Amino acid sequence: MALILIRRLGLLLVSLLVASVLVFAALRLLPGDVAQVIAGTRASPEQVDRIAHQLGTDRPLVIQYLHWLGGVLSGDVGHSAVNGVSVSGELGQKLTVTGPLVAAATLLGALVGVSLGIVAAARHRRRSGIVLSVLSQLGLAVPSFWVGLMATTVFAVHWRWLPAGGFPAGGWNEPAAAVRSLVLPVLTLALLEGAVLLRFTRSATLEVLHADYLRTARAKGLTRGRALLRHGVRNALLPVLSVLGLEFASLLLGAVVIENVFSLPGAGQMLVTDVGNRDLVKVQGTVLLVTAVILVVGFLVDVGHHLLDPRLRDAR
Amino acid sequence: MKVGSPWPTRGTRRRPPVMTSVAALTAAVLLLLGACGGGSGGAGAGAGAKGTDPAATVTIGQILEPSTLDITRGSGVAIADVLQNNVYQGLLQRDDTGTITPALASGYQVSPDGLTYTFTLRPGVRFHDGNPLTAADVVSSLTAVIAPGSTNPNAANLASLASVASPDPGRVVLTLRHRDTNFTFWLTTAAGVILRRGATDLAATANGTGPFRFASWRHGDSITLARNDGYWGARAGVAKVVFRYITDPNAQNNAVRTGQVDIGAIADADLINSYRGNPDFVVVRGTTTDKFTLGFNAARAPLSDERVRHALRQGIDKDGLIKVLGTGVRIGGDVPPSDPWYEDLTGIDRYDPAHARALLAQSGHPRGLKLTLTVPTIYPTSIAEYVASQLRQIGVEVTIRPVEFSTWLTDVFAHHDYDLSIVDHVEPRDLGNYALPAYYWGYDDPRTQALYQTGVQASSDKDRDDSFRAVARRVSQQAVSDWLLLGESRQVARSGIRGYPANNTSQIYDASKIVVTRS
Repeated sequence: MALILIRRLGLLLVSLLVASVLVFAALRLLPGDVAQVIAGTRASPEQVDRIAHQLGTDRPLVIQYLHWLGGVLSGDVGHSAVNGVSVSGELGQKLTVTGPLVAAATLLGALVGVSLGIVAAARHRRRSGIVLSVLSQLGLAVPSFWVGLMATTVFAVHWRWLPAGGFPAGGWNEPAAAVRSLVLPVLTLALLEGAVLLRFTRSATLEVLHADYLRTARAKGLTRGRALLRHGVRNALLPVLSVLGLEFASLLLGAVVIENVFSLPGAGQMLVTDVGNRDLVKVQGTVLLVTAVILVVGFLVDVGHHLLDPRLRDAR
Repeated sequence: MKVGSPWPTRGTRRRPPVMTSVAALTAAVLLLLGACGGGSGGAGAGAGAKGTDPAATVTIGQILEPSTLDITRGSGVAIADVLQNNVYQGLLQRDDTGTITPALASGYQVSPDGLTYTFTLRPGVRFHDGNPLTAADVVSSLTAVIAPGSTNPNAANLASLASVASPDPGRVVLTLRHRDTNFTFWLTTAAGVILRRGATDLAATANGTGPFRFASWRHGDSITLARNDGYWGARAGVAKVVFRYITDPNAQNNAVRTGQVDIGAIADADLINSYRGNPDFVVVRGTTTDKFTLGFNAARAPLSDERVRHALRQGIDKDGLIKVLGTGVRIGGDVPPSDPWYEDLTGIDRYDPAHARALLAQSGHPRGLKLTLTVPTIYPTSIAEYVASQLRQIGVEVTIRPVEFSTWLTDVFAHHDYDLSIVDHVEPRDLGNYALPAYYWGYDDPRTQALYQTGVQASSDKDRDDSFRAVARRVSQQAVSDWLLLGESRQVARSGIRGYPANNTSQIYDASKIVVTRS
């Protein structure tokens, strides 16, 4: 187990290095130039050149990359070219909004999606199972920004139960207000998440439903439900866990849309603004940190697999 | 000219597919392109009245957030919109109708040749950090703008300024290279703000002399200003002003409806109409200098042919576009009605598709043309689509190329790589762009340049107005650009709030006269 951990950790570091090159290179393919964005349309070409020189964006790309990598290795992911704020500082601030949003949506989506998925599989020939299946299809098909808009119109504008958007000025120092402002965004995001997981869990469970070991378990006297819960679900959850890891990445991207709909000052919204400004140092720092988080989640999923699946443990 | 659309684009992104690799994740992040805009509207009333609440906080919904607080470095209109007149002041300042009044100067004298401006500093002015305003602060601020190697994006505004000196502690003398009939106006722009000498960290904080102190900035959310109780002039009517930035039009509308903001910038005609007859809200309409300009690349064929440009202008029914958008005013040139040298030029190149087709045939394009229209994604797609469909009817096949504004800046503005372009030229008094041969529309006309200089250096207002009017007419007669419409400012305010600006609300949003009625 320890050996596997070390190997996975090494892979994680190599992946991060590759990611840093890819992120850096891909961003340089974008048209546009931060110096021109800062200078705007009244400035002369000479002024634009001077700003580029100040920012160091006129240096060769390899030098720029090594300079950035050096900073990353010493713990400094970079600073915004537009307003000088540190990437890690601002991302940390933004994640106090995006983090709870994505975590709560993942948790809620997983809880509801997985349990309903098992139910839908167990009752796949009955009316309730079919209704669940259709509902999950619907949840996948409806765009999240539309769900968010409708939820706001009904619960915030019409009934005034919850705020229509934004995040309290005091952040988590006003816990009640912060939680209230996240209710609709979390529900909207969790709806999609839940629908995806419901479908995966349902099909994974359906597959194990006819497995030999379940028949054996029933032959030993377990009821159908007990056999499914004790032996089936554990097997069915393996692919679901993988999906959950991947879904986490797409949830971060889904948060971009949700943050816009609910005007939440989160990381997704920040990234969109930074890309628009061509604040590449800030974007690459942010993307690298987010990539690191996703890779770590993938790492944890792997570890989870090993814990769930004794075959992997023994195979080393 | 600048970005700032009263209509932010609507986000209609679908959920991205499940991503597996680092490369795919990176690519997906790169696909999330920025979109936003600036703009608004407003109405005014008196401040300091009885029955108002001086302890109130007013929240103003805006669309475009500044990217930095450093007014000497950032080019976006959004910085000046929140900071100018509120936190930073110049020797002079202007209100939302364009009226120029003394601010940090109590008055000034101009020499008969128009080359020397002597400003008398207002006594007793202090910066927010407690330091008194001195002539040295004025000299250092203005000198930094015009210094060689200056990276101030608005340095061009003070191009006529040769030197700044202080003969005694109470006065500052500005010496010009040549007469500049717009000089006092330029002093009211971001180029003219007076900072404490040696001020650093302008990107994170703002030490000004205005009626509000900078309090805090939550990136991606809001900027808060607090009343400066040591202000030299009439104290602000409210204790706090929060500028909240909401790009999504529906979110902005919901924030107004639910009282999260007291005044909101709402451009969408349907949303505005939903407030009609509602006694809880006031819909405020105002003017802007937002000229939605269809730029022609006159430096290359076929648009170097004036007949082709006339044909394109005559092929687009501007009234129809205004109807589609539900907002906007028709203009026939680069000068909005709020400028003294405005003239109605809408009679030039009237909508006449038959004549447009004939002009195209005459210019050697009897079977029509193929052109590319490069347009930033910050504007509603309906504008470009309307233009393309109109031009199709006169035989011009238009390919729309939507780009991010940052890409537009590089491709179109810097490299002149385009045929047609639509951009909202927000900045006031930008007629001089047509006198710049290196400007992106590739228009190099010595006569226009000479006329413009005559206007700049005129010795009377009448001569100035005559010259600028002639420039605007000539540029329109040569169909250098087409002016699709002049934007309008629209705000919805909670009843019981007064004193907010109505016009040009995306340029300078002076909040000092806002008052909240006690209910």
